[in-house]
Amino acid sequence: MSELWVERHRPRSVSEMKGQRAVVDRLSAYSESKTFPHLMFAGPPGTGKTTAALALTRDVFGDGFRNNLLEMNASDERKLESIRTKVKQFARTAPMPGTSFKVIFLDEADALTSDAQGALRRIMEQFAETCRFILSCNYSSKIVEAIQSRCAVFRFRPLDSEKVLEKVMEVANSEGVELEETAARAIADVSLGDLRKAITSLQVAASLDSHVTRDLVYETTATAPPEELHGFFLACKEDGFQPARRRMREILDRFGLAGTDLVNQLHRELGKVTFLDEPQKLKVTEAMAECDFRMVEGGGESLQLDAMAARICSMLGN
Amino acid sequence: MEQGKEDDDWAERYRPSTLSDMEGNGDKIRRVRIWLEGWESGKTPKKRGLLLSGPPGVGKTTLAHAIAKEKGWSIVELNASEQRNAAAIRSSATRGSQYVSLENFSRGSESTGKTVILLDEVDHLSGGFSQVSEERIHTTMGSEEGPVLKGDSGGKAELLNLLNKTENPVIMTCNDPMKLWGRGNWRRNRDRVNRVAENIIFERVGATDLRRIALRVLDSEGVGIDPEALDALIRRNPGDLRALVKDLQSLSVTANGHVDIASVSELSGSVLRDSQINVFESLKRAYNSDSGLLASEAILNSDKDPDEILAWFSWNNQSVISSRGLEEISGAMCNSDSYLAAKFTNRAFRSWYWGSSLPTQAIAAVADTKNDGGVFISFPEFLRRGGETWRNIDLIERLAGSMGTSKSSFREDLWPALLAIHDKSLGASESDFTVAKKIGMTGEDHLAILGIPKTSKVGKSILEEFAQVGEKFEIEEAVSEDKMEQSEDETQSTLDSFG
Repeated sequence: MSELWVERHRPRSVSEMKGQRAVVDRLSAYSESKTFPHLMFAGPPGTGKTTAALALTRDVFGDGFRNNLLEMNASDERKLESIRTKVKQFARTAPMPGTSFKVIFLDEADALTSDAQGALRRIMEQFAETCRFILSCNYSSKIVEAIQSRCAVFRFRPLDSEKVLEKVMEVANSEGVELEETAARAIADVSLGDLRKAITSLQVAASLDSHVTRDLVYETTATAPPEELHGFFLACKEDGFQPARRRMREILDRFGLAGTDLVNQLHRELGKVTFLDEPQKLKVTEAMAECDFRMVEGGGESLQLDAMAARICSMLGN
Repeated sequence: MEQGKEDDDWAERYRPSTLSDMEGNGDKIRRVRIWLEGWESGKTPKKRGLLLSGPPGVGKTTLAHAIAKEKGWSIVELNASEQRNAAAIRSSATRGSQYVSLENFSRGSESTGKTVILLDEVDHLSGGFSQVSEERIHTTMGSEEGPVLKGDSGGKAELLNLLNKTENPVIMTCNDPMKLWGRGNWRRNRDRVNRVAENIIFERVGATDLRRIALRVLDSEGVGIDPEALDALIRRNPGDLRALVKDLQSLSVTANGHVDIASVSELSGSVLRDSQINVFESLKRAYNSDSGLLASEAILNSDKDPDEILAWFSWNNQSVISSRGLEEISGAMCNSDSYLAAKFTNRAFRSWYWGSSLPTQAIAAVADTKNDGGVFISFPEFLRRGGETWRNIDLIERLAGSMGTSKSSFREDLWPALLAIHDKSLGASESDFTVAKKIGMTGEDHLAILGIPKTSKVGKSILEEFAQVGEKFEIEEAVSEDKMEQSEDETQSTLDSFG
């Protein structure tokens, strides 16, 4: 159990990837032809950008692919100077014997300053023959148009919960975990299309008990199940401040939530609540946002949460 | 950067190598030829530089190389991937030419044996136009280790210097000339460059040219395409030739010899570039959805960050939502802006969440107060560079500099007074330039304070009048400009906060 399941079950070839069909089809064509142009992967976290980059380079170069790959992520230096030195140095040296090009994988490229991106674009062209770039980013609007124009762009979308479900079941099977159907659904819901989060959640739950139930999933992922959150809103509307506050405390304690997690999860659930109309939801959202903001600014958690509950009660109460 | 025909990358393989091979922008190419004739006569023309500005992928760098190839000139390239401080620019100019020490050599040689100095992406030269001392340039050029000049110091000033003195053609490319002019005193900087360089502005490539090139490329690769597939491909291309060729290559990989409409629409689902994403569609869907949940889903895939989304919403709310609705949600919009700002005070990026969820919930809450006549989304004017807001910022900054106060105190104390002095309803006259001349404003600045568009009839006549009123304040103005020069360096990057 020492190894992270996320790493152990990371697809090693493009063809093993789940979801992102349009992306995967095209990438498989690249791995067959053993060559690819500059690529840019854009999309939210956990949708397979890093996996795709590593799998593609492995498909092209075989198991020794790391010798031909320079990986840089946001923890490395992103300044103009490091692009001019480190990246350029790597780009201009010859590829490994037997291969025709090498690969630079710039993770979180949206963190590059615009001057650094300016330096990058010409390197991308000058050394295109011997060095291909794979850029990954969360917000593609942070990448200057000139770089996007030099890349084949691929957009990664959050995975369907069905695909997440499928992969989670598969991992559970191969790790010998007894995973209840409802628990698997809960994992898919909690992960919001982030496969990395889903598999980690599974591993954490399974480390406590190899029989994974829905309750165990919610307790180990620090997530409150929808019905509890729903119950809080109902209490605000029907029962008044004290009962609502009691419910809130109970959720916090039982699922081990931080205040800001609770606010976030409450808001995600708010959209599905049917007994409130849109103007009411706006008021509730405002109360939540303010509470969250004050906690970010350093406000005391229990005081701010109580204030939020009180505000919501007085807005919704009869 | 000539490369062989067997190049992997189609964009390189089909890069035109001579002037006559270039497609699109026909009149621009003619202007380039006229500029070239200036050099051919053997003399050094008045405008020694050629500044090619325009969006990516329209062939600026290609044109530079094509010119050199056609004339048989050699080429020295200095691009943003290298340091470009004053010393680096000067030594590359020397390397290619007779700029400093080889002057005599040049006189003796044939005038046709020129060396083009190509400075790519000059808008990415960081810093302002302030000069660094000759001594520091020489020290840096002389020493192997530990240069005195770091980064791009003095790069822009040396660029001007080069343009004024060079015996060789200098070609510069940039995407956004506004960035080259810098922020402080951009009109003056623009004029300084335009006096010595021919500025040719390229436009995005038109659909007809895109189509012809696409067909030619596909033809020589032996790949067929359905007419409607080609239409779809060109419709979503923003006039970027390189992107078009990249797309074609990426399509052909799975096409099996023939590209059909299905593969193009599949491509557009997963491989859109930013300029091709339709924010307008997402926003329209958001405004038309009847719950906050649906509205936030609608903008989920717009790939704009929350700052930008908020800007889009607050701009478009004004036209979509009635005044009663605006009143109801103004609190929420305002708060979401404050929460977004929390990321600057304490790096709390999770407050981004509220930056988009508040406005989407807000528009859903007042969906019933939408104005009649449907939802028409427009581009937020204040995200456009060169809009009125930006001009005022420029003005405020400059005036604050020349008066020696901070920007914020100028904005809070002096700016309102300045507006009041020029307010017609308070008895001011449009053609009273006393204050404007005294504090060194230009005619355009004066108009900006009055809120009159400079292209309007009134605006034009005021500008004329302004120009005629005495030159007696010139000296003071010049002093204020020099002060600005020094503070430009620090303010360079903030312009791009929305980029």
